[in-house]
Amino acid sequence: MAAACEKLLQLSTKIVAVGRNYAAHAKELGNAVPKEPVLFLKPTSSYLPNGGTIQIPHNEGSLHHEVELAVVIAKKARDVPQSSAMHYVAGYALALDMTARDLQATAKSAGLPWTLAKGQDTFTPISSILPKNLVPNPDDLELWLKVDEEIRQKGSTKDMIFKIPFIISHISSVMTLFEGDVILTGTPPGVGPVKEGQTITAGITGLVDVQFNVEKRKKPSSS
Amino acid sequence: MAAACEKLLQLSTKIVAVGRNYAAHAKELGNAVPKEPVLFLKPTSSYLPNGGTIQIPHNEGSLHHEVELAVVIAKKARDVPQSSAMDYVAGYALALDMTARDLQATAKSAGLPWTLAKGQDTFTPISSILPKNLVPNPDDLELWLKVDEEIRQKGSTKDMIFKIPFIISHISSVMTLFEGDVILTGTPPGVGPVKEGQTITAGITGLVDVQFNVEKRKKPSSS
Repeated sequence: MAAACEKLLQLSTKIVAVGRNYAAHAKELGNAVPKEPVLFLKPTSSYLPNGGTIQIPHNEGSLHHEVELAVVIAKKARDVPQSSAMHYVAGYALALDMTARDLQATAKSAGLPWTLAKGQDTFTPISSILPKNLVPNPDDLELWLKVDEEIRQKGSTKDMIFKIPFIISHISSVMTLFEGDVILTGTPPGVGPVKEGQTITAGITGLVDVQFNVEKRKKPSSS
Repeated sequence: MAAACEKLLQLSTKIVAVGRNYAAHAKELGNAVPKEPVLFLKPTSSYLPNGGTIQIPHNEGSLHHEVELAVVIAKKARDVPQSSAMDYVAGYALALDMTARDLQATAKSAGLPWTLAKGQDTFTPISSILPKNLVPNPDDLELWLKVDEEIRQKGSTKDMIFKIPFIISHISSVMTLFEGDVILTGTPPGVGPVKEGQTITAGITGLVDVQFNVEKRKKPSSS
């Protein structure tokens, strides 16, 4: 089952992220709590397996970390009712929705897409996948994140505004989900900058840990 | 070569679209002409092969058509210089960037992502892929679109603000492109609504034609 799980990420056709799914996180960024999930895409080119190096774009000073519970889809899902949504879950992972916060702020005030702020290479660090049977209650998981041993985020999936069955049902009513697709379910409060030379550790308490170094990309020599 | 091209779309890991790449189209929607390309993602679940049915979401009255030249990537591209960018092109296609315009307007004024407006199933109708050697000059192609035999859009890729080598170079500096990835290069003016029961025909003059019916999705019975 674990081996099958490892292959799932290679099958992944998309990453669908839910914004503002923790009330206290919406508040800390001065955002209203949404009536329905805020959805955005991150490309699969942004995946970074555990142990990898997060790359700050050469023209950015820092990136913001956002620790999230990731849900991995088991099979094709379209117009899935909430009552059977959990059947479509293959497993879970711990992921970071790395964000160039200033690019996001600029995009928001101009009404532009979030792609540049959210979708660059290494912007979706992710743990190995935990099979569903190892996670009996995804609604009561503690997520934590440290930068250089200093706790920055600590929250519980209890505080998710939209729960997993609703999220799967909602997303599948908008677009078909496929085996291996990953849903990022939002981040608790405590987001903040990380700079080159720092180390991020994070995890789901009792289940999985990850570690990533942070570097700055060099400006490519040719253009 | 044509058979290899057909397989490319199945390999596709993402669709990267360039917004506001024709000055007259930016103007018709009251948008400023950008200093650098506006990038957004459409999921591969939104592809609709030629002859398929475009589905208007059950709670929308219409969708807007946007006829575009699609560029299909041949091989992994990262930090590609403009001078060699064309080596990374496998071929071209005719695509429509179907858009729920009111959802996009709401998203823009709220500073939210464009995903709901751009990324639903069937929102990327696309022709078969033309191998690169059949398209000697991608900078001088006529794109056209009709709704029920009435011409709505007609433009030339001559009017693209950012040309293909720059686009490939720019996108690859932000995220790695892979074989089969598709870049939508923007739409000429004349975008407008299409309703259920109507038929869209479109093409690249002298190269490829497509046809799509338009229906309304029924609201799913279960929730």
